[in-house]
Amino acid sequence: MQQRWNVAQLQQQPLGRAAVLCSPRMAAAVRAALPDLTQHHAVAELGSDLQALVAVGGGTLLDAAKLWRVQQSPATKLIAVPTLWGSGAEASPVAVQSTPAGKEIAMGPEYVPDVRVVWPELGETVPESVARHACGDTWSHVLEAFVSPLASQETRKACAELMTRMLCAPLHFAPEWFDLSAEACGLQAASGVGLVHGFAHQLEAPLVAAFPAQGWGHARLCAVFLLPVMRFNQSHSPKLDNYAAQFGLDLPAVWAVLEQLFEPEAFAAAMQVATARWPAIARDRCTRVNHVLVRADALGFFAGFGERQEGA
Amino acid sequence: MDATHLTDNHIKLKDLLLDVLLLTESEFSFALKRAECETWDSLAVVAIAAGVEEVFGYHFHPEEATSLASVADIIRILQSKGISFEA
Repeated sequence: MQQRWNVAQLQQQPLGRAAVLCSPRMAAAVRAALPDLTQHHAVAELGSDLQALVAVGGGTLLDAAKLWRVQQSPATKLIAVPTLWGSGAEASPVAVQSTPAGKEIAMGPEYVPDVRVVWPELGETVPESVARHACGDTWSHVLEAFVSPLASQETRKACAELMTRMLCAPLHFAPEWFDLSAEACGLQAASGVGLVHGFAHQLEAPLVAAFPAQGWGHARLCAVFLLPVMRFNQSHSPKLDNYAAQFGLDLPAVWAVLEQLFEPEAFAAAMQVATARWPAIARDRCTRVNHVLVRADALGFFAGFGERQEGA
Repeated sequence: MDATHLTDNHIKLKDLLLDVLLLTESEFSFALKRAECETWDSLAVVAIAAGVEEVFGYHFHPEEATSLASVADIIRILQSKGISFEA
C-alpha cells in the first residue's frame, strides 16, 4: 500500500543510495530541502543501482520516473513528489508516454510509486491558469469515475463524498488539492474514465502543434471539455442525475463548477481540430468506455455546443 | 439474414454494433461471432452494454455482458427479456 509522507518525513527517512530527479526549475528548492542527494534532470542520467529515487515534478516527469523504475530498476524505491496536482501521477497505476504516434499508456500496480510526498509549497507559484486547469483535471477524474460503467457502488459513493469536499476547494492553489487529486486518481483507477479523456488524449498533440503558445495540455483539455461532455452524457442518460440523487451529491453546485472551468473560445478553437480528429476520438480507449455510448453522429452535439451555451 | 426479414430492432442493433465495433456495413452480419471480430474486445463489451441499455432499455449484468459470444447471443438475451425481433 502506498505511503504518504510530508516533507519533514521525507527529510528524516534513511534512503540509502538515493538520488533526486527533478527539472532545473525545481533544482534550488529541492537542493535546499534535500542537500545530500545528487540531482538529475533526465532519466537517462539515472543509474540502475539506486535504492531510492525521489522524483519531483509534474505528471510528465513522474510518469517518466515510473516507466524508468519498471523498465530499468524494479528494485528502486520510488518516492513521488508532485509539484502540481491534477494528473494524480504520484498515486496512479498508469504511466503515460508521449510518442510521435500519440500517447502510449502503461498500466499496472507496479507503476504506483511506493511513496507520495505532499509538499504543497511547490505549487504556490504555479500560474493561476495552470492551477485552474489542474483543478479541472481533478474534477474530470472524479466525475468520469463517478459515472463510469465500470464503477462499483462503493466507488460511486466515495466519488460523491470526494466531490462534496472538492466543492469547498477554490479553483486555484490550495494545499488540499494535492490530497484531493491523489484521491480522485485512485477512484478513477478503480473504475475508468470516458469521453473527456478521449478528447484530451487525441487533441493534445495537434493543439500543441497548432497553437504552441496557448497553453494547451492534458489538464486544460480536461477542464474545457468537462462541461460539454457531461451535458452530452446528461442528454442521453439520466444516470448522472440518478447517481447524484442516490449518493447525496449537490449536482447544481457541480454544474456551477463546470461552468466556471469552461472556456468558450478555447473550446471553439479545439473543436476546429476535433472535427477532423473525430474518428480517432470515437475510437479512443477511454471514449469506448464512456458511460453513454459515443456514436459516430455525436460530433454534431459538440459542434453546436458553443452556440447553445452562448444562448443559454 | 435476408434484408426483407429485418425488423426495426434488428436495424437498431445493427446500427449500434456498427458504431461500437467500428465495422463497415460489409463487415457486419447477424452471424458475427466475437472470436471473429478483432474490435469486439473488453472495451467493446462495456460499450455494447451501454449501447443496449440506451437503445433497448435493458441493462446487461456484468456476467451476461462478458459472456456474449455472438450477435445471436445478444438477440437471444433481449428476446428472453421481451424485446421482439420477430416481424
